[in-house]
Amino acid sequence: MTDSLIAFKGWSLSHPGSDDAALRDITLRVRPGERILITGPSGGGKSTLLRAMAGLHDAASTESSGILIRDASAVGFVGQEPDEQILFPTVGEEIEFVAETTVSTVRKVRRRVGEALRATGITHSRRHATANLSGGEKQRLAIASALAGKPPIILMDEPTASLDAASTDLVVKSVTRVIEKRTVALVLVEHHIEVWRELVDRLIVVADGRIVADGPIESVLTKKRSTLIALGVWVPGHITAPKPTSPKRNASVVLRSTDLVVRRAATRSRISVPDFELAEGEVVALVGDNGSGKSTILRALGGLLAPERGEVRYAGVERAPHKLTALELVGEVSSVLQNPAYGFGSGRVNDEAPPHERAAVGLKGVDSRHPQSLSGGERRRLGLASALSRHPRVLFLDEPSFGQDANSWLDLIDRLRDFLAGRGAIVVATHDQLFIDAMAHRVIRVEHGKR
Amino acid sequence: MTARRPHSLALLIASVIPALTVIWTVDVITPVIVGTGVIVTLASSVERFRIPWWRVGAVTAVAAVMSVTSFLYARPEGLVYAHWGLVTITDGSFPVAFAAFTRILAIAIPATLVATLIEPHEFIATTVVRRVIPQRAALASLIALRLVPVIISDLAETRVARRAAGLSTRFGSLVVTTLVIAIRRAIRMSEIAEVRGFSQPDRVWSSYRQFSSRDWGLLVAVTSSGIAALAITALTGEWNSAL
Repeated sequence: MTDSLIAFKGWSLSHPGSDDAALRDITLRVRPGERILITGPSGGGKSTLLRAMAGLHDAASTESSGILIRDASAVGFVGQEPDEQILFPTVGEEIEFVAETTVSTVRKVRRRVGEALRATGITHSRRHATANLSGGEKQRLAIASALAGKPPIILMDEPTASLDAASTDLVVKSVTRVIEKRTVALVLVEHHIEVWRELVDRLIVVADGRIVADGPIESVLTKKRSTLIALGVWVPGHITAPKPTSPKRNASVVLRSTDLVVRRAATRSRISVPDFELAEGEVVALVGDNGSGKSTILRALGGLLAPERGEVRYAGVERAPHKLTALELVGEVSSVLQNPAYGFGSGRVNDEAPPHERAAVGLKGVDSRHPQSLSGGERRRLGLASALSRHPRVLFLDEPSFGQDANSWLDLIDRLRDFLAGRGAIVVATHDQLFIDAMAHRVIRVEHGKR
Repeated sequence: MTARRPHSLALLIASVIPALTVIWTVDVITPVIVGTGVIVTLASSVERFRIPWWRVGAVTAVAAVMSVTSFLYARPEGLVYAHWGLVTITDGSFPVAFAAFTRILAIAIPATLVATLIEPHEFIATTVVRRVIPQRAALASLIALRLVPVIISDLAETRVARRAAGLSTRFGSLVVTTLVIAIRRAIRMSEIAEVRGFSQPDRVWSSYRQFSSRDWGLLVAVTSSGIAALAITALTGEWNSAL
């Protein structure tokens, strides 16, 4: 342990009452200044391993065996969900909370806060309300908070999963600055290896609760390529976007949007949407930065929000979508929100969607679990399975590919193509360029407060 | 640069002075003098002071409605203008209702202004440094403040998501789902707080600051307003003991 920040030896973790161990026979060391990326299939145990490194496995409600040695005060942690990273009402308080335990004077606390803000490119004042930050800004603030403690190791669980390309770039640059002198070790869980490939030097692949590969990143990517592809790891360059299916000629129009203007609640800004028609078999993608209003437009199109002006009409439906009752609405269209967990109405995955729909999106082995306990990627797939089981004419998808491994992503594409072939149509808000390349026939770019 | 602003504890104490003053006498002069004194003191102590007109308007409306009760049910005195059952409007109804109106305003408007100026973190830091409440309880209460807008946002998201799923959006259904999500979120947030040093015993409370001469000056000014209000009321013969 003398040269390690964290050490596991033959360590396993299981939940009482569960036959399967969440982690099995883990042996690894994290040394000062190391840069490690942990990847693997969805639900394979990546996040569980990272949480164990952070000491976040609940020792009271789990059973473990083997050896785990870690310094409890030496960890900076950045989780997956932006809203769960933020603990205080203002930006300054958030970072001060960490800095206050690591330095001895108020002057030094203030200096740490300034350094952390600069490192992460946050330009808001210290008194800016955290409730008014976008998801991407919240994630960068969480990173700033982790940095404020100047820990010898930073653990990050898919920190850029919900960020657009520009925000991702900012986060990667700030992390690069932080670790460049190798005074801080980095352990990162991530599906998309390509984004961090230049920065990390070691790759650990976790599947079915075990470490199946561990070594220098380029060596693992070369020597274990076929194994990684079979597991669903996003091996750089392996998946190229299949071309979108061609919509049928003279297909019927299922949705028409005219002079649509929506108002984004968080910023009160108005967003104009160009007129468009959506035909059967067609996919329209809404793209734009975090906070530009893609989700708001999607909700107005999906009948979940009254537009400020203009009109949305579904073919054969007299009334505007937002005036339909919930039952009338789901008879026509289905929306899968960015966090579908809000819409799960039952206590078991089994009851949310029929088995064939769950299987079609690659959701296996979670039948009896509570929907709220699924990983982000699994929740999205369950939300999609549930939406498809209602046989909608139009699907509205908000970032459907977040948190998906390569196999799940391909399952998702296949299922959505089946849906299109069955005369369905899709409007999707996404940052995933590969998804756009594979699915979208038209792209609408949304910019802050305007079209 | 942070705007000049009195200490949150001084603001809190200032906000209760009108209530401690008007309990002694039911009249119009006392609440007008002490209320005006406290508001003027607050305005002169805070840089870039702004009156939250919408909130003040709402407080005034509530005060007007509440004083109607005094108007209708005050003890009969002088000429009777109207009488229906228990309701009697007399000469005495007018001063009693106006006194009730001004008393409510004298208490509520300073409290409303202070609510916009007070900084919970500074207040909590002061209570911890002064060993009034334990650190863990203080930090937990600050984090709970952050949960309020999150839960409101969860409630709105739950409504949208349940409509999208064709489920009931009645308040009861929303509350159950939101509660499940809020509890899970609170557990995960408590884990994050722990990793970031929630239990670390040695903490530099950077929000803490000592009382300055300006804070003491604020307290002297508002207390003087209260004493002056009572003295003037007594000297002008308007004292109407409430005890």
